[in-house]
Amino acid sequence: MEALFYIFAFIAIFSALMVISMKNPLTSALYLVLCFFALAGFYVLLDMQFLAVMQILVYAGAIMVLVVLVIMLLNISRLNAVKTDFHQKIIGIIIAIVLFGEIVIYTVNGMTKKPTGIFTHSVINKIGNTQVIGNFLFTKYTLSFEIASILLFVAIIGAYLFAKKKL
Amino acid sequence: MAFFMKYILTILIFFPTVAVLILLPINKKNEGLLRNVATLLSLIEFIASCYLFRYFKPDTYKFQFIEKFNWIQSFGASYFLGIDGISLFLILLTTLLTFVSLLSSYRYIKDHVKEFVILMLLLETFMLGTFAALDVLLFYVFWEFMLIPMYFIIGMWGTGKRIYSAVKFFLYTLAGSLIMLFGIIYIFIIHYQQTGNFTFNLIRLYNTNIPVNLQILLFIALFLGFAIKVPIFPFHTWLPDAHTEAPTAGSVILAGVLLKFGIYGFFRFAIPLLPDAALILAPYIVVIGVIGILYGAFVSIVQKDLKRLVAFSSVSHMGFIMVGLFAFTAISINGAVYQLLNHGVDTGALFLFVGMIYERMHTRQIKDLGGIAKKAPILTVLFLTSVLASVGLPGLNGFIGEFLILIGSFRSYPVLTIIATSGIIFAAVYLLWMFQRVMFQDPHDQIAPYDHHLEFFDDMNLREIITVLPLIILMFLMGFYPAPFLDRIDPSVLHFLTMLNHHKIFYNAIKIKTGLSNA
Amino acid sequence: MHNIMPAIYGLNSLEKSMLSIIPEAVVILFAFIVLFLTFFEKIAKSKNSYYLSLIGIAFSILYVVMLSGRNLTGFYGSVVFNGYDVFLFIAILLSGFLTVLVSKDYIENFDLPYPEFYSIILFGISAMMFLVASNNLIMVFISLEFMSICSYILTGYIRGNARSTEAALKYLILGTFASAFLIFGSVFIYAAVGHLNLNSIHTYLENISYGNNGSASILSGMGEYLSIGLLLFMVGLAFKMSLFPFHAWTPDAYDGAPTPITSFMATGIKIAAFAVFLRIYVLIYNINVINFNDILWVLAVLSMTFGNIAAILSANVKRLLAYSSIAQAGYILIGIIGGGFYGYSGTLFYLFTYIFMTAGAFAVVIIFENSDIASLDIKNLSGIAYKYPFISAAMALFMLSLAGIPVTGGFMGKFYVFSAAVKSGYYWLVFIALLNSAFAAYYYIKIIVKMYMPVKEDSNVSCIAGEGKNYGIVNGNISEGIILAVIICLFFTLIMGVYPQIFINFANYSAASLASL
Repeated sequence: MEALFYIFAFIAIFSALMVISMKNPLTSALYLVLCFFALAGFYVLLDMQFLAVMQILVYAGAIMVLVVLVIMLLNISRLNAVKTDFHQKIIGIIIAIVLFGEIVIYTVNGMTKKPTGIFTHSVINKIGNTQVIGNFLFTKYTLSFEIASILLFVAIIGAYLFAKKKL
Repeated sequence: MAFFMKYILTILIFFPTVAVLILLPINKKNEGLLRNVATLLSLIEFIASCYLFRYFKPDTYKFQFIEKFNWIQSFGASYFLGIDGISLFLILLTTLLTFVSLLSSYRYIKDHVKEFVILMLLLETFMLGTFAALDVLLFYVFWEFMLIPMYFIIGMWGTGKRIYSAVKFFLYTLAGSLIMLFGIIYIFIIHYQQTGNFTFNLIRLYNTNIPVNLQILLFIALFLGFAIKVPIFPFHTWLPDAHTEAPTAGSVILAGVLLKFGIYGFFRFAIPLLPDAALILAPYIVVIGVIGILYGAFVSIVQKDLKRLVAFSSVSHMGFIMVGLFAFTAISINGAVYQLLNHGVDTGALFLFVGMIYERMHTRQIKDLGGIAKKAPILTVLFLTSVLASVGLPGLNGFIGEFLILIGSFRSYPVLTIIATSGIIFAAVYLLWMFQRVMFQDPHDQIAPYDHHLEFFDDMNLREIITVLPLIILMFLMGFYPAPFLDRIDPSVLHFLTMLNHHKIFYNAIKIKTGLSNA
Repeated sequence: MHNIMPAIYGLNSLEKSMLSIIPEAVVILFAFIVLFLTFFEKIAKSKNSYYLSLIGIAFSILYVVMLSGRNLTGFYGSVVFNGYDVFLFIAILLSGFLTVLVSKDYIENFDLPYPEFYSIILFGISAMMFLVASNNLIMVFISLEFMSICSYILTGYIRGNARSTEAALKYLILGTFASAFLIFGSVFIYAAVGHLNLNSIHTYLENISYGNNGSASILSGMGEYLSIGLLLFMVGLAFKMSLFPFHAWTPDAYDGAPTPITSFMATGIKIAAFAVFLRIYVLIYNINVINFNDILWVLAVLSMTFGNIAAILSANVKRLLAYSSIAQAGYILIGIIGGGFYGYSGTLFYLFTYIFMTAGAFAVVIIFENSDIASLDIKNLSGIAYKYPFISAAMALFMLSLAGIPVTGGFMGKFYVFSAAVKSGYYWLVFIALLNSAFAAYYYIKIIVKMYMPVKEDSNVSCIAGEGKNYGIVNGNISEGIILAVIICLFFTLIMGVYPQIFINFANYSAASLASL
């Protein structure tokens, strides 16, 4: 199990890095799909099969297909060389490394006993995966769920406003 | 009438604001009406303020005409007004000088008259509020907002580098005030920690016990705020610029009233709140004061600009007052307060005359002036009177103030006082020399591009005479008969010294009670 | 395990839950109504949407007032409604009200599609209210995102305008980044304590730190996770509060956005972010995991200093106000650092004054923008005071209030937070802050100088609409709405400076219910 986690983690980080470093948007998009798959792997490891399936269906499936389609339609083959300031790059890398180092130090020095939530394997197996999520979404986090729906609605309006030529 | 007497301070403070409301509906174009109404209202204000003098009980140091209402309970701040002998005269001076400067600006201020009179009246409200406030937060509110109208007056109607001067004036004083605010907040919190309740009531804050080391730091904080306003020597640099570029009315108010706030702040706030620190630091401050006297005098001698010269003479005079205040003897403090009033009257008058000359000649450069005496005898005589008063000629008011300061301080600081005395001599040099060059010197000796104006130099008209007349009368009155003033100042001064005396570090000199009231 | 599964809603709890979100629900309802107006072309083109939005906000304020005094918890502890929320809801609704008031002219000038505009503003307001009310980490995240989405859309609202689009894009990217930090932080916090509900986290931590003596061993592992979580969470919120190292989006977004939206961002979003930060600070940060006050101290000093220096250097009014808002965030933070009942109440009071002075300043900027000056360079303001005496006087007062000169609310707010910090012993912080205010006065004064004291050479530069005009159609309309907004701001700025006691009481009431949580 542990080994699987590291493999997925490596794939996720590697593909995320490739997403931002590839010049060709299509390749980036495909790497993103890979990244999503790796994340789905995490969910499986956490006994959240339902979420894993959703992740693949919604993100890797639907959304990424749309993105790839748009890239095809717009025919963006290659991004023009973006002016990058050398200093910015250096500073960015340094800060990223420092932050990453900090997090690593913290986590390594942190808990020796791994934190566990309420939902252990046995509990999940007893109740059932989908039920747990459903229960939470419609009881404890109803409000968050509802607000998320309004959020998406507003996002759609925003997309429509930006995209439409003449209102 | 009973109502009037009960709330006289509030009425006095906010009458100018009401006057502003009266002026607001008047059409901008109707400049004459605006001017007359504003001047009339300020005259009413002055007359009303004379009631304070009339009903003021001279034999007590206690604050009178007290008004107290809750203002911000959460901070323990209250709307707490009251005056003693010192604030009484400063209030009278303020109302008088506001009237005088409004009257003096009929010719000088040509555009945006409405804004000008409104700002002058607003300024009056805040100046009066500052003198009457006995609540530290209230005081600070009035104190700091006072900057705004003055800043506009310098910036909008000034000459030459007016914007630079206005901004410099504003930022300098603001920086000082903010550091002072730090000190005020600190004292407020210390009082809270000691007693467990918030208060800004000055009389209760007087009883705060602050460790001496902390007192010194806090005193420096308050000192910066007040010293910049005075201004004391190293912090004076805003003053010549502001004075020189301000319109006449602005200069009169600036010199006559605003400079008083620094000294008043020391007297009312900094020293009684932090007595130990004041006593410890007094010798250094006296040294700074003496340096200020000499510096102001020397710089005045070499000034080419008439107004700048008068401005620097203020630095010198304020040095005298600082020496008198920080010598901590009854006589010297009496003298300092008296000289405070004198300076308002004398320098105010000097600025008025400089303004009149500028209105006629359109120059303030001393080398371009000359021969005015022949053309304008009344101006010459009255100008000479105020010059002599400022120099300190016996019989005029300046003499009494300086004399009291010098004898008073001699007890505490003999050597420094002797050095300070030379300041009077230099004052005679720069003022009289200036007067000679401006009034009597033959203009044809000079390459004087403006001398053709001299042909049309008209003497003072009735309005101008009325403008300066109250000041001239005061000069003689205060010179010949100081008793009504000193009688009222003395109890407050003695009380001030007893408050200091509770703090034991010092001083025998305080105990010598004077028979000034018999003088 | 059955007790873990929540019970079916009792009617009572459902009622309570519904009651606790009524003010937000009303705003959302009106947002939908306004949005539906777009279906009807004729109605959409009239002023209905404008009035409907105002009515919606007014209704919401009414509900807040009606509910005030109650202490409600809704949706299994997701949201709370108590005195703290009453204060901040009113603050946010007022900020939204002012935004809608000033929007009308601007929209007409720039020919923006408007029912949607108002509708998104209303959605944004409701998001802010949810953010303030939210009581668990998921709600915080969701409502923060909701708020951000609304503001991204509004920032880029001037279509085809390069600066607006650029601003929106920058804001979007940096904002998403901030959200990532926020959620990363929440994950760590959850990992450490195993709770999402703020109150539960609070009790959990309190039990550990003040409870049994053997607590050290439990803390040893948890402390690191919790502190890194809280740090990252703070970074996420600091983006929204635009504190110094996280401010980078602020000047561009403020500059590029439509001015009413700039005003909305500077007031509403900032208040909401500060409010939620204050709540979480009181509940979680304040319990000593590590000393967060030292970090906040540095952030406050940096924000003030950077904001003021950058503002002095900027030549454009909107940019200047953007940088000044960074500096103001630093001042507000001082109240939080000062802490205690006094400090929290001071922070809330400052936030309340901050709305009116900032919204007022932006309202005046909109008037200038609408009528004369296409580009908002400070030098173009030269002598404008003689053209618009009332508006300029108001602007001068707002500037003085921002600079913290007495008789204005700004002074009282500053005084309040500074004395709170001195009370807790942060002398140097206050000293630096006061020096900063003296320094800051320079650029506020600069605007007044330009308006009132024109120098001959540049007096003819002003009022040439054609010159330096980048975008927009200038038609010179000043509607009553915008004047009303200026008057409201003026009134509150003055009344909070002259007689602040009522507002202090209100803030105290609010802070009391915060501290008693």
